[in-house]
Amino acid sequence: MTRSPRYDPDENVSRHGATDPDKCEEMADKYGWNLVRVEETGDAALEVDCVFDGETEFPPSSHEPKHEREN
Amino acid sequence: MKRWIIFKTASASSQGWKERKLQPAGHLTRILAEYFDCSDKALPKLGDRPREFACSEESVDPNFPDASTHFRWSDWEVSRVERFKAVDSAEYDEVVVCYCCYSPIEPEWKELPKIGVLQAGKF
Repeated sequence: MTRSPRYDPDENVSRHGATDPDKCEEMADKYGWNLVRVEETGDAALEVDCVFDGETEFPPSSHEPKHEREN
Repeated sequence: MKRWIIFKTASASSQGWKERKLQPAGHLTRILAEYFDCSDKALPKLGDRPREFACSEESVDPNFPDASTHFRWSDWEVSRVERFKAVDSAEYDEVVVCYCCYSPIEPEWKELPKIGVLQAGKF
């Protein structure tokens, strides 16, 4: 028997590559995100995939030129 | 606030216990998923489900061949939530244990977004 789950069907996830799992937790802590999963990517440089709940974007840096922020 | 959220089965003999193991030790576990939550969003509540992830060969990103490609809401549903707050200075402000019961649903796999690649120096 199946029942309708009670959850928000519009919830999504965001992913950011990182060099190691510590970076994932650092991102979560620094930006106030919910880290739901860390897994290997198979890439030699960005070895882990940090999966976060919801849409996550890094805030623009005040030291970054405006034309680069818009990229 | 840093919260360690643990989803675990209601009992050790719950559905699929033979396949549920911690690596690399290889022993059995009741843990289904864990989150490191530094957001200010609401905690999981009764009826909520953790996510499950899978890899579809058709959708593999050649740049990240081992990464998952799809996710779905789990067959496990939160039936009870217990909260444990840190008394002294600790790595987590709170540990939240979400006990889950097996309640299968029609699998609805959704494609994951692409892995974001941060430009050097931005983090």
